[in-house]
Amino acid sequence: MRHGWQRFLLVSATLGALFIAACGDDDDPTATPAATDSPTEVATEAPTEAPTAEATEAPTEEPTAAPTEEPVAATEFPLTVRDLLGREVTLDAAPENIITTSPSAIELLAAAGGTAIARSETAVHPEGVADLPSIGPTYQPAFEAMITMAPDLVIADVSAQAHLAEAFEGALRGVPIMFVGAVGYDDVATSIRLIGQAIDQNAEAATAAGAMESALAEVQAATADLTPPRVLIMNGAIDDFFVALPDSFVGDLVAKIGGDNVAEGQPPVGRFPGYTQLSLETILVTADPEVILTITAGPPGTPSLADLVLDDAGFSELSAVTEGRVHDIDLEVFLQAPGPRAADGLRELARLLYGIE
Amino acid sequence: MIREAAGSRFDANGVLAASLLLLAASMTVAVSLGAVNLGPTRVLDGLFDRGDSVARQIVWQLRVPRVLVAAFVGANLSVAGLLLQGVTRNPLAGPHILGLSAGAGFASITVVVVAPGTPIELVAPAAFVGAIAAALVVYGLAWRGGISPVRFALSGVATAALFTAMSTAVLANSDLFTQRVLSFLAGGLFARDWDDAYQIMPYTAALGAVAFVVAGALNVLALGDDVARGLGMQVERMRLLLVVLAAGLTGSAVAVSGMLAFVGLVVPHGARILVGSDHRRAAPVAAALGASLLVLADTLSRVVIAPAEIPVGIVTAVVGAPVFLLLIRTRT
Repeated sequence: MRHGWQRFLLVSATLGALFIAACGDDDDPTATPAATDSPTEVATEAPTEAPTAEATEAPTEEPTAAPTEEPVAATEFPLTVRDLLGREVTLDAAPENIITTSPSAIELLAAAGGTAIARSETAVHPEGVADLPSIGPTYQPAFEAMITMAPDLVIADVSAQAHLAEAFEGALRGVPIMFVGAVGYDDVATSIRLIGQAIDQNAEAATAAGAMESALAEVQAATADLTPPRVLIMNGAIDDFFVALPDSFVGDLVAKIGGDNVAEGQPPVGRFPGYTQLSLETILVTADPEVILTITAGPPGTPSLADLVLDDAGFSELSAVTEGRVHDIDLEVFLQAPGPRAADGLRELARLLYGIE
Repeated sequence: MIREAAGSRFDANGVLAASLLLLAASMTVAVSLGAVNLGPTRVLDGLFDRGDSVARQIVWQLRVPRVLVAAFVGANLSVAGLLLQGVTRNPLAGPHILGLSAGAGFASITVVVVAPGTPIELVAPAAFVGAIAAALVVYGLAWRGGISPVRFALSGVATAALFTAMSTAVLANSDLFTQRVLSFLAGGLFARDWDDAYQIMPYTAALGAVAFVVAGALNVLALGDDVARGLGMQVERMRLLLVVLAAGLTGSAVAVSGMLAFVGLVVPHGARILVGSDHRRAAPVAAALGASLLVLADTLSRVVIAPAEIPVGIVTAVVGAPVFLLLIRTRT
């Protein structure tokens, strides 16, 4: 774990810069050095002008919905890019044996038009993924298993595995490791384009990334003139819950469509980045949420947190409860596997917050 | 109280040789097994770099460093436990119960959370300082113009609870990317590599050597403070030296593996059963047995539910708790 703590610093600073970019805050001068490493400006040595030879695997699918206007170029190898941790990743050729180590990573890869040879234990989306061999849990990937699969690209998770970057590099010498994922909504498109470039599927990736962006534009246009409701986003247990801040993934989605997050401005507390712990008293006294969104984690059959909130005496006076606007939202889409399904997630949120279909 | 006779029915040199043999065998098994079943041929190919790059990477980058870390941690905790049980004349003493692990864990967590840019090389010294601070707190709380072993143990329990609570408080208010600090509380060897091995190695070698040299003093202390004074020993000073030594061993172990219970408690008993209460003989045996125990426990943790892992702290607790209960039942 050489320089592990420097890595921590870089990661924190990079993600800090990400958050700042995502929230549209003024530039913090202390974050400036890291901002140059931030994934928002993905360094690339790919051709800036259209090459003569088109990629052989160029768009075979029929163009869907809105055609994107982005220039679609084939990737020239060797390729050096910066991943979402700000690390330089070099690929000598288009990878064929790609291992993904998180649910998010495999969904992003699929959206970019690629296929993996292995998944993490809990990754079951999109269809067919569940049949792939597993490399163990995302938080403790089995490096031995990965080595024997002879990968030529490993796609790891920027949110869940940043602290394992040194371990990945030490265990998988000579294998390019690319950290992607989504701390905020915009990172989904960034990650898809980055993967598309790495696997030389630029056209399909551009379409998928464009779809993310047009979904956002469409929802924002539809909700722009509507009055945003006060929203409380919670997960965990009814008597020990965490509240999503605007810089969590789900918090970013809600903020993107104008939702007024009642936890905004609260310091992060607890072990989950982007989440805090607010007492019920604080919620009752300082903010009366009009909509409560809950994320329920647990084995199948776990009662939804929304139902528990509706039944709980402590919450009974809140507007959201008296008006029946307490909704359970998808665990994978909004928390565990932030990725391409977030476009539908945005539409779902627009429905729950504004009542528009 | 430790009451075994000075001698034992086993030959001390034979026991030491057997423990070292056990350690060698454990390490061989540990390098041979893992999440992926390579088979003996490929393991050997990897070990001797005979053209199998996959096996070489698995053996040299993953298994060997991790086995070494497990061995060093096991040896450190066991020798620390032996010293502490001797100093306190209390068979229930150990680095975990006396709060040394908790102090080291608190220091590690605080360093990582408060100054995330701290080089990893400084975490072990910080943990060392934390363990010593905890030891001094325990020592200070127990001091009444001298140290009563019972008061020492009770102070340790209270101090361990205090430092663990403080660690939890720091964690509760920590921000981004401190997942690794969670391993300080739970204890584990996941993804430990050469850097971790290099970190703990000097502590094991240097402090282990000192412990071996001064272990004889424990034999004198075991006779009681008055007798020890009568024999010319500066009892309080020696006791402090031994506690600081145990703190160093514990701190460097916690810095790379987090807090692992039971190893430092159970292994010293095993060593004394085998070679008797002569601490000069018990110290190296405890080191070898402790190393073997943790190497085997870690092998189990890697293999049982592969490709996932069971935290090694759970394995040591599952193995250690029954053994400890057995010791309590069978020895008076």
